[in-house]
Amino acid sequence: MLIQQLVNGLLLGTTFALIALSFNLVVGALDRLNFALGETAMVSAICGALFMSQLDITFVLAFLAALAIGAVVAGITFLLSFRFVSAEYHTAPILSSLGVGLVITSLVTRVVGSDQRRVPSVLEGVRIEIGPLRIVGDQLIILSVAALMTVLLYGFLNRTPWGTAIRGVSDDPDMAGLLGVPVQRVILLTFVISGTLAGASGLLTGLSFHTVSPFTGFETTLTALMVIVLGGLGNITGGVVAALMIGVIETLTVAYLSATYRDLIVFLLVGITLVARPQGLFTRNTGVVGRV
Amino acid sequence: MADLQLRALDITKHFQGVAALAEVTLEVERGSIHGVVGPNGAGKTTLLNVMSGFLPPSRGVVELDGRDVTRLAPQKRVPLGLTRTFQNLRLFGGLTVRENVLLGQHSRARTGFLSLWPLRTAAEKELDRAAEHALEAFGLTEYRRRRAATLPYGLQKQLEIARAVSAKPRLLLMDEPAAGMTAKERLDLVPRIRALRDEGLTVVIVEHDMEVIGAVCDVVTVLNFGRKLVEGAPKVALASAEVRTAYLGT
Amino acid sequence: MLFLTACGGDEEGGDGGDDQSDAGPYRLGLVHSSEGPFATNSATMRAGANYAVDLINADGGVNGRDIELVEVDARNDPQTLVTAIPQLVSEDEIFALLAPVDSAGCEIACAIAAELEVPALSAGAGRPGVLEPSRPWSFTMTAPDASNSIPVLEAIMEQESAGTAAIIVDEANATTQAQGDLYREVFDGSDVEVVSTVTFASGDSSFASQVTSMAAENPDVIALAAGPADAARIAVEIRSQGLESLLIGTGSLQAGGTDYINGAGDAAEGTLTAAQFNPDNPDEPAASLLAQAEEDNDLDAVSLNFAYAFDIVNLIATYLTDSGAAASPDTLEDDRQGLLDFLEDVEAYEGMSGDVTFAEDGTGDRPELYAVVENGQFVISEVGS
Repeated sequence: MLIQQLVNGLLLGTTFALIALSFNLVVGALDRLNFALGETAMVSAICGALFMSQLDITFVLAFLAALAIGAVVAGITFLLSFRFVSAEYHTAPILSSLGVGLVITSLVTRVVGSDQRRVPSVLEGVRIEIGPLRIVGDQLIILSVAALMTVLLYGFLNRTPWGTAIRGVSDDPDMAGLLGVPVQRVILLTFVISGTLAGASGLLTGLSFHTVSPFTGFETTLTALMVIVLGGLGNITGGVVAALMIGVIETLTVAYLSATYRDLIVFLLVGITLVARPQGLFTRNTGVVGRV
Repeated sequence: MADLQLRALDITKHFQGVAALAEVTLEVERGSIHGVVGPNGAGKTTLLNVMSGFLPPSRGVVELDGRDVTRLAPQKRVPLGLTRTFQNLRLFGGLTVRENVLLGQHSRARTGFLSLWPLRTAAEKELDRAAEHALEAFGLTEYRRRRAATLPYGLQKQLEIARAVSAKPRLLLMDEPAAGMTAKERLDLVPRIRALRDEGLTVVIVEHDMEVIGAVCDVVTVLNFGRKLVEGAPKVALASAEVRTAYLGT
Repeated sequence: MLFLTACGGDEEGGDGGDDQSDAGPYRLGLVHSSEGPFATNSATMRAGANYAVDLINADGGVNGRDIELVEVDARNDPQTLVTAIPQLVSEDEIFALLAPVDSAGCEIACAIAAELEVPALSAGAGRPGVLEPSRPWSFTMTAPDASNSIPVLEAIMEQESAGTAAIIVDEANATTQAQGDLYREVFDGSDVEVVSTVTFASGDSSFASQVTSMAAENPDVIALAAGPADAARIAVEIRSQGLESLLIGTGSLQAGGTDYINGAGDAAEGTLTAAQFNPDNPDEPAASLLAQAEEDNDLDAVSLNFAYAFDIVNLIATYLTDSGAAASPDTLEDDRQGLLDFLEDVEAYEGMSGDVTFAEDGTGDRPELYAVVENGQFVISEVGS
């Protein structure tokens, strides 16, 4: 059973990893946190779930729709909360993106109601058994799609000119501008990709939890913050590792201790990290305080 | 009349009442290598900053190809063909050597978002070759996959020039390129700068090292206390009595 | 002794009481909650109350006056209750309060209302002792989960000849914790061995871990001590992991039935719960009231909280009509006391939810029923049938 629980934990971790990747991209590009990403994930997931149940479209199409919605919402968030906000006011984008998140939540509850929505299972009946291990269709989808998206992201960032531009801008935006890199467009692109990841994370999390609720947005943001603090702000690989770690820790806590200790243990871990290694477990970069 | 690519006319720059530059005029002829020398605090880097747009002059005008660019931001001067390097390195430390050069080309790239290997256009392949060429020209080919931050200082200086050049500017402003280089690297630098000029690039070079200046420049301007002291061919200018006084105090 | 009929409007509005049409509307407070594990129950309650008010007002109101609901969204936040209820009483001068449907909210809201000597009625609170701090000012339409569910579930255990059971409990909520205790009592009393108890905290988590733990013991029965939305997700996870245990719930799971069934889909099929409300009640006048409500509100089936809230509004309207109470600032105190006496004495009010009477502790006295999910609906039967 321990092995099965470890797998459960890794699966939970993969959904955390996507949303953490999403946050870290923006941190990298702008040194700012987009606090509306949790809600971006939520609205993508709600729409994806509705498309599947109401319009009867396949998971693949609903997933692509969720990606597109995430991308558009994040793009709009950039224009509303970041693009025209002076760089002198460090806290302004925090507040304005939090505001965008609130607006998204109330728009969703206004338009489609506050009920949680069922995310129909994909590959129902598929069950792979390897020794004591059992992986069902939904989990298989979550694992492979999350892995594929992570690999695609790495490929994009490391192997394409625009990916290189994103890394260049996140390293030194002024210098990138001097070399003729269209910095604002690169940042917009970063937001759009980050929104795509948030959308993917939203629907995959919905698939894992079987439902999506319009009120999970900020919780998602909180989880992502835990992960990226633990993994090192802006550290993409650190974020993935930390996400898997938190997934496993949460699952094992629930399985062998109690659900009420779950958040407590994660918060403790993050608290200790902040005090002992404010730069995160997996990075030698500047600390959290310096970058928010 | 000479074909002037860059003119800095009567540039005065005050820092809190102190004049770092006082009515300095610099005229750079197309296709030349123009040196700016002078003791510490003479105003060399300030002049470079004014010409590249990093500092607005208190008075005076900067013209690029006859166009007044005095109030134009540095990024806006890039498309007009002006690029610069920095005395303190500003490489993308986390990127590889090759990626640094590729970013230098970004403005010309016009690539699609998904330009992965099987989807490359001919133009993109051409840019790739250009990048390889730039790496080779500055002796960086063997380090192309290394992260820029892990290179020795001298090679980082070379990389910064290679990156600046790969943006294909028509005018390159270099701030102390030889500083921190080994004797051997300085020796390599001279023919490389000459080669750039031979490919049609105009170079303005601010430098302490008189050997490099003497070997590479067509014209040298000597500044002292924010004023132009002498201007002329290197041998003449550097030998003049005023310069010797300014440098050696004799 | 009073024998009353529901659907107040008919005779009351026209000629029942005095004509007070100049006095402005009768105001009733309503506290709902758009968030938390019982948000859906709360929305249902709100719909039922508003439906009742609409019918009454469309029919001329009470004593020539409209009834007006002054609503507050507490968003599952006790702090909101603490500030909002005194405000409802002092500023809006409400006559009585429709308290939150969930026990946790009801307990706080009723206590505050009692302090201000305002009658409060809940259309759903069922945790044992929930009214204790606020008696005699509070009532709940619901029979307490324990007194209603324990005998029903024990009968089910016997009928299914279950040997082993697992319990999954939402630890973050007092109501569901009480449900967990209830199940332990049931299994104790029916010689069912509890082989696994797992916990969760409402809302944000995947249930893969908990279900894996339970699956390792392969229990005959899994008892759901969870809000209906969480219970639905647990059911889906149980079925997706291939576990075939019988799912059981208390009466409150059936009360939030729509949310459970919508959330769980096929995974809900076969779930057994205790029940105290029959949406297909064949007795009149409940049958016609239910049919009318289904039609007017486009509902597949009327939920418990809807019917209970509907009956609360009509109970109050009946009192106002019978007594001709003005509920004006001068008489408010006496009129509120009058409502209390009226509620204490109600013997057989025939409403949408069937016969309404209150036990001495203010809780509803309800029939022992059980429900099974068949083809996406709770089908209600009497125990032993």
